[in-house]
Amino acid sequence: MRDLLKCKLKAITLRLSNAKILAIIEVESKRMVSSRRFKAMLAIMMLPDILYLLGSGNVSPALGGTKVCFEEFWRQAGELIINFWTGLPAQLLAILVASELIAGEFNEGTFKLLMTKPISKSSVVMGKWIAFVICMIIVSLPSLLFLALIVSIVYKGWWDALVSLVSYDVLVGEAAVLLGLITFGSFTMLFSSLFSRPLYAALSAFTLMALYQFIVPNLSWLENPARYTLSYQLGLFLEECGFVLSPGGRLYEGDLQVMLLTIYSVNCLLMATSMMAVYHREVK
Amino acid sequence: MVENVIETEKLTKFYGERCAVYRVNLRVTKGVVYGFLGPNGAGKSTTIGMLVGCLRPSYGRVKIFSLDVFKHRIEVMSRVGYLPEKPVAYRNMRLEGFLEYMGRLEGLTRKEAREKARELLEFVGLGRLAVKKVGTLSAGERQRLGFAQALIGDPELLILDEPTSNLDPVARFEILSKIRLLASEKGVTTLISSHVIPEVGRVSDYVGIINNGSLIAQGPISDLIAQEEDEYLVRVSDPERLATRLLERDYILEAKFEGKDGIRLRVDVNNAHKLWVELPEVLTEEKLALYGFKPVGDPLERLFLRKVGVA
Repeated sequence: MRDLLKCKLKAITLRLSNAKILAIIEVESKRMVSSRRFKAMLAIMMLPDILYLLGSGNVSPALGGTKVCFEEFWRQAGELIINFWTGLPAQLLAILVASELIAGEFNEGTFKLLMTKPISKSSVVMGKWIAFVICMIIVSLPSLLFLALIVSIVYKGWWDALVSLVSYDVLVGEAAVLLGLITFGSFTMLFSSLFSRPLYAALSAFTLMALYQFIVPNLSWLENPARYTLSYQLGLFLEECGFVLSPGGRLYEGDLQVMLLTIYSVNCLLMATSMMAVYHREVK
Repeated sequence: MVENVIETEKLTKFYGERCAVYRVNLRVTKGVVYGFLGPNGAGKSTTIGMLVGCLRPSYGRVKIFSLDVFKHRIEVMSRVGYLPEKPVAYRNMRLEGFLEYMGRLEGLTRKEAREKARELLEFVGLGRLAVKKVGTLSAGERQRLGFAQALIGDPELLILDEPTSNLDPVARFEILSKIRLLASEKGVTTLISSHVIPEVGRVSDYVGIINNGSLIAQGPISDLIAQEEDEYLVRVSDPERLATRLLERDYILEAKFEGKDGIRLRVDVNNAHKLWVELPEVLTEEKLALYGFKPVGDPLERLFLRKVGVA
């Protein structure tokens, strides 16, 4: 029985490791990670860590005790997630990375090669999207982990610092950053499937994204229009998951399940539309 | 019964109002090397684009291995190797890595793909560059890499769009020999698109000529050029006497004097071999000194030029 299970497991592993989509994920992730855009994104995502590292000496635990300082840190981290790690600079970089995914292949002419291989167009799109998600994890996790490590060393000591790397707060923070970046990526992927130049895809996606974020909060005929923006929903996600973003009470109101379902549906819709766009495209 | 590997039916492609390909009925039988000839802009690449499923026909159907390319793309493409007109590859990848990736997309395991990649790099003469990045290759080397990429899945049908462009004469000869070798040893059906006629004539069994989007001739080369004539230039001590003797033969269609000692002979292509046998006999009988004898032009080239309306 044990041998049979072992064999089955081996067969499944072998089949998975030989799956065509895995080849796309592997190659795309490597290509993205070695790109300059990715390195720039990684550097910019680490910026808050460097600033915090330089400024951490200003906060003295003696003022309110280490617990207060630690809580204050996570409040600031929550703000960073909303305003920086999923804010305009990160959006721009995520868009730049995602715009290369399909439009880059059209631009280089390599999409024709993929189209003449026995792999479905949806697998190509899906493989590239998964590679993007992996890259976003690689790009966002170190900055969050590093910040958690610094603050834990400052306020708690080395051992607790190491333990805090797998803490609930880090996981929630990472989930929020990923939700934001992946949504921007999926949105850009749609434009990447429509255009043959990554620059056009990036410009269109960024313009639309920026316009949406600036216009929607100012629509007076909507009740609390800001809640229709992604940053508001990410704030809601963080608060629902235990982050205290305002010492005076909750800043964001809403239903976590509805929010998650909406983001999931939007991403699925964007992916499906990207697949359809690629399916109907001709490669000259 | 003859098995058609490629079969198109009234294949038509419009770009806006411009018709790029019009009602093309291509038939490529199993195991042959099919030369797809046409001048620049005739519709060769568009037709090939439709054959490999990259372009959708405006009208008509494409069947490869009796399967509709657009309905069964994955099944069909798993048996087809394709070399695009401008060979492309990921610039930052190493040659071996690129071929391994292409192999894995063909369904090979990682190990199989790696082994196959090494084997093919040797086959196309790029073995020593295996760890180099694609971006550093010359145009000719990239063409060879493209050819290797087309072969990675052990295809039963090879579709090669201008496979010898960017290649030097030696590399051309090598690639064409390899195409012939694959056809004769492995039975790989090959469609080569080109506008370099002598090359195609050297490796192909069948040809199709496309001009202004329409297929104007198709069939075995021997049948098509049967209606053509061979031309020879003979240089002898007394051309007039030789011309008189040769014109008695019905396979000599015309004799034109060229220079003080030359005659240009137009010969019925089916009986051209008779000239090779009888010319020495006539020269001996008439005691004429032969200064030179060479065929002029290529019947396939003449057929092509006549069909596209140049000659």
